[in-house]
Amino acid sequence: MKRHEKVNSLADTMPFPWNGVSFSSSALMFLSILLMGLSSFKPHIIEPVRGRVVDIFSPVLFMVSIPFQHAAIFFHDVTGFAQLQADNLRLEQENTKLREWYQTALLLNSENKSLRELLNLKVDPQYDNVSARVISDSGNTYVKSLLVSVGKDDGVTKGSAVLSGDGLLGRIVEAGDASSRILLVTDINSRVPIMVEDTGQHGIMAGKNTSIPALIHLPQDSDVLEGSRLITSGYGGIYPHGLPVGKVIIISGEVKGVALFSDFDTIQIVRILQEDIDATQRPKSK
Amino acid sequence: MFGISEQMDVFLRFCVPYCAMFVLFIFNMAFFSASLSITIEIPFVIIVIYYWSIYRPTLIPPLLVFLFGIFLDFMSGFPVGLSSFVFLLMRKIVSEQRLFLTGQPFMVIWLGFCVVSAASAILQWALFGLMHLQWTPMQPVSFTIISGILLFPIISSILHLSHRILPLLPDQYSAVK
Repeated sequence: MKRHEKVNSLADTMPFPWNGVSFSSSALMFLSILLMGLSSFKPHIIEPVRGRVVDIFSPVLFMVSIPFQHAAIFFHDVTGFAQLQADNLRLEQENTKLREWYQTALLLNSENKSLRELLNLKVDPQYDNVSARVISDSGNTYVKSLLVSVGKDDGVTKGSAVLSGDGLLGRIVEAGDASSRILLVTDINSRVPIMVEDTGQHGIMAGKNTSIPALIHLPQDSDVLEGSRLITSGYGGIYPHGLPVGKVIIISGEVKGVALFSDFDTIQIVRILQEDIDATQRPKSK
Repeated sequence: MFGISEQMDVFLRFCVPYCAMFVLFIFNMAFFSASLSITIEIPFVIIVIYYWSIYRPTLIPPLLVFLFGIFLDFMSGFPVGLSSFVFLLMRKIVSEQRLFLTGQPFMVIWLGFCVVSAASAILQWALFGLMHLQWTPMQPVSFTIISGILLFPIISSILHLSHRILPLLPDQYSAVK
């Protein structure tokens, strides 16, 4: 018993920062509720603190996430070997077609440019982009978000659109100095104004925290077809016009949602769009 | 008062469970990056809080639990204070039941964890829904609960090993005898 008492006293002298500090659970629970309220009603107070915390700890998270990311990609590759062979064959065929399209695109681009000059048309702002590595998908069951290793120091601003190699991924919701948080289009708080490419009908793609976001506010008489391509409409000003989003899924004549172009399982590098100020100020047509 | 070697010995022994806690805490943030489309969040922190609330509550005082929750909220983009509230509530309830739980066989402890983990996940889901005025799907929540329940025996074994390294306290309710 004597030894126990001695050890107990020693344990009390341990230099842990919380040693000797006593807060009651009830007081801290009350503080948590206050913070929840602040987070909901005055998020602008919390956001800078959150940005600072993420900036400080993102390098640690990045180091820890590397083996997990590699493991995830390895698992994905091993389980999808047959799929990989099929994809390879399909991509080779697509590549041949794309080479032909490339020549056509060059021709159309040149024609488009000369027509714009003739019409004295004010073109959309030009976008530059910065590529960034995903530090971690720090989101959880309720929040679908990614942390990336670029921030205000690299020119990233809140609201910038983020793309993967295939299509729209989300937008920047918090920009720290050296890290930023991307709210994915699948998050329940995400709303993306979209346009059906074939018909020009406008709607909203709403995240549901599942891999297939919903398509809402389409016109009642819309004749959207299965597989119709969706692009961003540019309404609201957050997402520029024309970013590829996904394809419409229709089951039994009912619009079920959007099959996104972005492959959310293997994202490592993302592109963050930045408005090219110089390009927008530069006169486009004379 | 005490020799340097004694102090170092006790200090190092206390470092072990805290290191285990830290590693599990980091895993809680990084482990589920396997797939974004099917997110399974493994509730390592819940397991840690549940285990130590029963066997050595002094190891995780309310302030530490609060900091765990706040930090997790900051890093995950969650409404700040939500996780800390749930964790503190869970710690309080489990600590109050430890007199009953410490003497029980592992199956009862595991069953207790099933109840606590499900209740905390559902409370988190409900609070998040209320704060955003829309309900998120229950399926990922159920995956989280199930993954926690399935991993509990493994994680609690690791915590048990670190518990055995700790110096014994006069506390008669400590599980290591």
